[in-house]
Amino acid sequence: MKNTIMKYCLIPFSIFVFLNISSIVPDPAYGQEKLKGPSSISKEEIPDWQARWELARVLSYVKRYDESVAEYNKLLKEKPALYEARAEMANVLFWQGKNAEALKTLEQIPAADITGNTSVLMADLYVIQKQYEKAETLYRGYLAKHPDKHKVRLKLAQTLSWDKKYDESLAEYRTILQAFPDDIQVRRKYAFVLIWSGKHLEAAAELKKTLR
Amino acid sequence: MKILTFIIMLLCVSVVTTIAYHTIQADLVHFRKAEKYFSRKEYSRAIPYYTSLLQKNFRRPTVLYRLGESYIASGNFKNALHVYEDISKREPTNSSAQDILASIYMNLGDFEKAVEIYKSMVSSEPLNRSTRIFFARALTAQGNLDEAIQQYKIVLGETQ
Repeated sequence: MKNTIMKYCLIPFSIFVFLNISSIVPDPAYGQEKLKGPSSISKEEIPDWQARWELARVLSYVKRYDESVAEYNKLLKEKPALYEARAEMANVLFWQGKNAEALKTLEQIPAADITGNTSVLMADLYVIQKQYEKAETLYRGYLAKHPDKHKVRLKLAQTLSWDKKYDESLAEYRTILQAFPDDIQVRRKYAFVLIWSGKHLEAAAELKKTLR
Repeated sequence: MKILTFIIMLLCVSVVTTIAYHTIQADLVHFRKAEKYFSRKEYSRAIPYYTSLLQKNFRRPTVLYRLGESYIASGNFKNALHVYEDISKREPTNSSAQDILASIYMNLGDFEKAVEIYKSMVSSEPLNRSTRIFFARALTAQGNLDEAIQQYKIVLGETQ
């Protein structure tokens, strides 16, 4: 009988005592590594290429373009696959008026990595070089993702008109005018494309609207 | 029967001891709970414990750091600022705390104060390149671009 009591009482008692002791006894780690202070917010080591990239950007902000491009070139020599930096350098070259160099720089980036504003810049550069088809593809790709960017749609409409694709150009103008019916400048450009496509009566009507 | 009485007594002693411990050493119990939540990255649950410990003058240096880190981790930079300003006053030579304080100022958009701290850190540790880069970033954010360029060039060894 005594043994049974011992068995049934001592086991839970031992567990209870153990759990209590473990919660009472201070953690030996206290006062050691836990007292070191901030740990999770320690400063990351910044590599040289990162600092150089930041320097190249800041130099471009103060319009020290030559120095900026020199830093981008050093950076890209070390990190040739840093396409974001390559696109930034193309922008700097564009601001310098070095359009051919800017385009050459962008052409070194794989097509899949040409996105967003970089694709618009590349398209703009193709337009300057009168490579309208290439520009059209890029503008259309951008507009597929950003259909509300009417400034880019206007660029596409103009490019199509210069490439003598009048009907496609007019369609783009109509989309823009639907969103901005009071934009006189866009309507005038639309009217000119109507004239070039031989739709003189329609053009006259549109031009009249701009004179009210 | 004697054994049973003995065991019941032991149980009673154990329960009483535990209750007494939780009452007398309540701060330590709270600290352990806070640490448990902190280690599990449950910062919002750890914060009330650390705050209550500080209000009760529970003096362990870890508490302030943990509270500050918890505020930062939960994106509450304003409260983190109060904590690190406090740490900074208590330990003015603690560069790690100064560093975090500067980054909090950056997060809060107070670039001038961040610049001030980084400038002092750079002058006391001129070879610490990470601090100099952060200084350059703060200068850039402040709009002092020429000075930022200078600092980046020092890091890259491009000064004349």
